[in-house]
Amino acid sequence: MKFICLKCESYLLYDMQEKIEESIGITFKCPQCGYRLAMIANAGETQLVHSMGIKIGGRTSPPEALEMTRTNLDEGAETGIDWSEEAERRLEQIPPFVRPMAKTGIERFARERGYREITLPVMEEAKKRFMG
Amino acid sequence: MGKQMAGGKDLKSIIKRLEYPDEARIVSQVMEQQERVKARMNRVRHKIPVLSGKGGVGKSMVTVNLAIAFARRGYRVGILDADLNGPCIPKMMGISDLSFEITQEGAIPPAGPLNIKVVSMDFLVTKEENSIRWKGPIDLSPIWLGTMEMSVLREFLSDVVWGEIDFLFIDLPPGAAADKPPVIAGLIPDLNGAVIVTIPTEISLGVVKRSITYARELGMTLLGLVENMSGFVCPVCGAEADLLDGETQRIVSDLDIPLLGSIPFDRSLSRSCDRGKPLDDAHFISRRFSWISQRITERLDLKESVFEKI
Repeated sequence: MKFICLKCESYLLYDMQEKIEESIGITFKCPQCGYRLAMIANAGETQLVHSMGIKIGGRTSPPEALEMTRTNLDEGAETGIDWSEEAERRLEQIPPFVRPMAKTGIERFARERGYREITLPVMEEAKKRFMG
Repeated sequence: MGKQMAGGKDLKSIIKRLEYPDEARIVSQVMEQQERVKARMNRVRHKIPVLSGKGGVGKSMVTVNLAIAFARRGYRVGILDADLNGPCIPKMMGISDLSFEITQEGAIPPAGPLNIKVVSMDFLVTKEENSIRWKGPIDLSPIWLGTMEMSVLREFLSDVVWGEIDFLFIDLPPGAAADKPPVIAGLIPDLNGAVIVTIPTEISLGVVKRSITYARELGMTLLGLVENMSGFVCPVCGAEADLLDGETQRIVSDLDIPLLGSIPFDRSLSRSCDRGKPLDDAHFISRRFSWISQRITERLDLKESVFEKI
């Protein structure tokens, strides 16, 4: 994808990128008038391209051995969601054989709503949603 | 004439005048990846996937023991554990506590018994019980997950310092016809032929039959079939008896595929895999694998001589 500065009739050039939430923001700049434009990439598309081992914005250094594999492996099974102590205690009350399913479901619910931490009110909200 | 935009500009003619600055170089990044795979794989003389239609038939066991049999015959051997979510080759080779050494030239793979080079996802996971998970919010998307796994395998081929190798065995994950193995096999240039593993049950043979047909439709050369759990060896008297009822011979005749050999169920073989220690080369199972390895080299020689005549 490319952007054109219609005033200067010139392609905007890649300026910088930064990670925003689960996506990336990319800034382009007109090399003549300095006009800047930023776009937010779709998280799914960005990840798909990234998972092919493609460096978005181009490579400035050669790839390291097993770079894609090593940087994307999520060993601690981190979900990016924290649990408050009270919420964890409440989770413990759920029978062990269904606990992982409940935990994943609540975390997904929280992620969809942009919550970073699961608290008792979040659990209540999730419960209402699951119970219909 | 292009459409006039606000301000009297004509986009079509503007684009014509501009030179496209391809900073992302996506096409060339993909091309470079493929070139790196090709360069590494050019130094591998024979690339042989080991596959089956069913899980649990002993693909990994057959892969490990074939690798050992070839190494004992003096060949330089490597194993690519392509089962990313259930890697077990390092444990069977007794090297699960090792890992890659990352250098500028690439990742140096750990070597197991008889200097067999092993590449496995297991080396990148620090705890045995950890699941293989990837970072990202859409980790449940099968499309994304599939792309990710393909990229991991591509890196295993392109970024590992395999060096000069005579035989590279690829232990493919369980799956049949339209599943992953043909796709994975498509990643590896110039495969020399696949080894199919089955057990003598009607269920396994039925699925294997589909896999054979599908592999042939894809143009994959099949070196032959290895029948695992072909019988049971009595630990007391050493006599071999039938264990299961399937007729492997029927598949062999129906599909005109060579039976490379049969491996009976044997506790010492099972123990050797669990403990990561190869069976002694005088053990009757080792001798059977040695025989299978010779059949494979004969088939490869035959294939080469046929191609020479064309």
